[in-house]
Amino acid sequence: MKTCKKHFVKIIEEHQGIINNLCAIYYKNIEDLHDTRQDIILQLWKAFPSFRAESKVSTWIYKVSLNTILSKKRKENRQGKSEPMEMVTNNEFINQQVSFSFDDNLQLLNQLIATLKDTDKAIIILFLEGYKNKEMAEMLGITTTNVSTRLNRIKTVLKEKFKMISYGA
Amino acid sequence: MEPDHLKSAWEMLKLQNTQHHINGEQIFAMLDEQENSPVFSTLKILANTVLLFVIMLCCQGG
Repeated sequence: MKTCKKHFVKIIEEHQGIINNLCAIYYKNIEDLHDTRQDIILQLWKAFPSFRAESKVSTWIYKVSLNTILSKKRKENRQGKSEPMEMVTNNEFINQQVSFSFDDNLQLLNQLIATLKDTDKAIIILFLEGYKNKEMAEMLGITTTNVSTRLNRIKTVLKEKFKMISYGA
Repeated sequence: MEPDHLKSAWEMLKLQNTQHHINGEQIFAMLDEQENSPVFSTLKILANTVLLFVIMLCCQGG
């Protein structure tokens, strides 16, 4: 059991970047971020005995982490506790610098993700991590068609936003 | 922003969000805390009681 715990802690230490990144995307308040990270680590520990090395460790971590966050968010929404969504209006996008530097791209991506619904955020995160639609569907427990539809919608929205910025419309 | 820009921005975002580092000791503490929590202890006692009950039933049956 002790060796098992040591092995688990080592895995978490090595892959904590994934957990920290997801928590920072979904939670802007530092206290909520830390609470969520703890919830994820405990969920991973609970799921650890059933983890099979057939899938990549990072995939397993993404799956457990995202599902923990999404169910926590659903619970918060039901209780009306959810952090106010950072709605970024088109005008705010237009006001961004048109010439893209790395920092601008980063800020834009951050803001774009913030405007998405919780499940859509998970989809764009997994897409950016290079997962296929089928894999995303399995990880999030939704159908592949649902993933494709949502992803197409997100891409269309992103394209429109960026077009608006590029042409200063 | 082309897909390539999106990907590089994503890599930057990941880098930016990894500041909240946690070390092994803190992870161990988290797990220990959960194992010593009243809910977990109650569950452990309950599981042991059920196990004892099952063993007693098996013994009587045999």
